[in-house]
Amino acid sequence: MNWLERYTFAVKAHLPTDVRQDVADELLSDLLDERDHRAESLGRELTDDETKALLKERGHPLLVAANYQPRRALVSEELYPLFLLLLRWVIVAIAVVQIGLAAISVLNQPEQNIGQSIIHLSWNTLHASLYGFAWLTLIFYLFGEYINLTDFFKNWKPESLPRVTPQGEYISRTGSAIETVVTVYFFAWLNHIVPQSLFDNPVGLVFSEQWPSLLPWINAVIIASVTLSLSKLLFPYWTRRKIALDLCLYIPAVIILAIIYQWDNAIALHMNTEEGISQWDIGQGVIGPILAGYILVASVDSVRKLRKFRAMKRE
Amino acid sequence: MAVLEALAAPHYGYSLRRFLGEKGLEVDEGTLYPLLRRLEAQGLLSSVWELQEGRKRRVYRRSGAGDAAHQSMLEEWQLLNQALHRIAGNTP
Repeated sequence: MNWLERYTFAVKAHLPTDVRQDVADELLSDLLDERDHRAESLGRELTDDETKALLKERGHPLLVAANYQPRRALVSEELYPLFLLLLRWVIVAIAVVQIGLAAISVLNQPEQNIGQSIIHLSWNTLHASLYGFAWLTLIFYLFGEYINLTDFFKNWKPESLPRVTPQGEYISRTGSAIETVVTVYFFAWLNHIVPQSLFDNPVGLVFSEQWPSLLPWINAVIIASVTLSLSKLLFPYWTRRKIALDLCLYIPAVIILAIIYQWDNAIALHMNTEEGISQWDIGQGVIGPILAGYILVASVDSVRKLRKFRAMKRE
Repeated sequence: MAVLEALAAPHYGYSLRRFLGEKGLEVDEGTLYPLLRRLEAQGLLSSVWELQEGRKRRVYRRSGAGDAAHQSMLEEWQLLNQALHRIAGNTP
């Protein structure tokens, strides 16, 4: 096998399967033409070094093959700003959870070595962040593929523009990003997609036996919330439909919290200590104020959004 | 546009590259071949493998759609050229 064939063989290894043979044949034909042209100019055959210089000019086989790849980025340029915004908040959310768990652990065991705890915390945060980074990249890759397959941007029609008031408010993208990240993280955590006791951290939650019966409903509400927050992120302006959906989601959420409130010891916080496992029940005393707080926030937010909704109707 | 212009006559990759180079437009292989494939995928070119001088070569030809696209690009280029001349003419 000569140098040109070796080079073609190396390029071929990195080519997409559907065009592999075709591109390799064309590349070899081009290299042979180039070699013959140079030999003709010199009036003699090319030496090995001259042939290698020709290949060096062509570049690394991986780079040559990369030109034939249909999509050369995991996250497309159009989606990159959104990806970066979400990634920032994914890392912040993970860090907040890890710091919270580490704080509980340190408070429970004050004799712990602080230096070691900080190293542990940093490692856990890095580990979980890489996990989050991988998931987010995968989601954006699939989203990018969907956009390419459906010609999403090309098929856009002005008729799809929202009916908003001239004074229409924008939805904070940071707010939507936080909402999306927190909801997705909660969904993943609740469904054991991410470990509930988070890696080596000895702190975790134990759910009562009643939870599985409610889990499909909770998941349905979370999925609806994630869809809505993604829609807010991609189309960051209020419309009457978006306001109505946002308000509607409060109803099942309050019902779910009310059902959980009625359970005895719905959740327990458990912690591995040197003396064994300590467990604290989180019952109505904790869930009650959470429910009350949620209803209060939901009511205030609903009043604010209803005003906005009416203003849009008048327009 | 240069590739579509050059493909007024059939060319295989290397001859096309040399033709463009001789006219003063150096295009490297890493740009030219993927471009030819994209243009072919868009239906602006067609290609067939032919045996020429004892060597298998992929020969490219401009298609009917390629002729129309070439014509439209040519007009656009001429308009742009005229606009640039007018701008340059008005620049002190």
